[in-house]
Amino acid sequence: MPDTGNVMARTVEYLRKLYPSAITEVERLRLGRVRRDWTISVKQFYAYRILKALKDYPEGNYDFLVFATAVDTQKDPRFKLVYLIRSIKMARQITVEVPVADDLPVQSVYELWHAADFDEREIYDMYGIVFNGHPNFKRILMPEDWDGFPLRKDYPLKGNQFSNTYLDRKLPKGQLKQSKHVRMP
Amino acid sequence: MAVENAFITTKLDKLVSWGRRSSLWPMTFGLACCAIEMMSTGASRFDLDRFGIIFRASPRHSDVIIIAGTLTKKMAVAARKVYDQMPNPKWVISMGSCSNTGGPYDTYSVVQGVDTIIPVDVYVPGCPPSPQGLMYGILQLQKKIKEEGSLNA
Repeated sequence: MPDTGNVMARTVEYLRKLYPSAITEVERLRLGRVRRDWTISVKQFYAYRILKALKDYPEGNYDFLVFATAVDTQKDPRFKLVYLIRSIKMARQITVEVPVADDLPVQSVYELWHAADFDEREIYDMYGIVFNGHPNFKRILMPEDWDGFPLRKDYPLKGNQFSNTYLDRKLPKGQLKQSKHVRMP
Repeated sequence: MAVENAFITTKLDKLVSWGRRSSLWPMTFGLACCAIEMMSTGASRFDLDRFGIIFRASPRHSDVIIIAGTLTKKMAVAARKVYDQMPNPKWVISMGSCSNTGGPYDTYSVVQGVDTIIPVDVYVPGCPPSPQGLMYGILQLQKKIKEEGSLNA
């Protein structure tokens, strides 16, 4: 079995040759004794092309999207998209991180991996990042008329005006009661 | 009721309540891990059938709804709708800490106690309650129906 580092180094080299200025950072994480996980940071402008290049990587396609998620970094740019993609053939995986701004739509990777369908809807639901080119783009967990994006760091854990009065608008009038117990702050 | 005589009403209530508490049909309303315990209670090892309890998948057939699990605000709308569709008389069992008080989820999306949206008869504590706990709760509900009657429920 070839050394993991070599395969991953060849992958990153291949990407660098295709798009010289796309990759801003490469991080190698040693997990255990042998296996290494590589994380590359990619500019948003190149993100879709890099992911497509990884999917079409000649040595062994990265054809399996494990998950896509996001992080509210509270820096500039605000969010970071995280794609963990895996090559079944080579038994390797690579994490692609894409810093994205608050208000800029992102290209959907649904066409590359259909597994991105629910993940991107969840990212939109929780962080409010909009994806272009998604076939069925709407909220997935929260009610569709919900206001606000709960996993943003500025969203209050115990709810805001909207979430606290949500049921008042949905249930029969005058039948909603206050809870009998009081929580510690 | 059209029966004016108090003696007849009381005796009739006793008979009707006996029938009702001996065939409590719960609405299947499993929401989280409590649902697993509820299913376990209904299955052959603990066997709710021996109490005359048969789970129904329609609110129109049901006498009691067991809210088993974390009730989110999105689901609360559906829970209330199901409760409204059940014919009278109807009872509610709140199963588990999440359903009783919101449990550990003191958050924006979880209802802080199912009693804020529908009236609850029996609270079963536990996280999740064991099948014995749920059975005890159901027996308490039967006792309640026996003592309070069901004609005015």
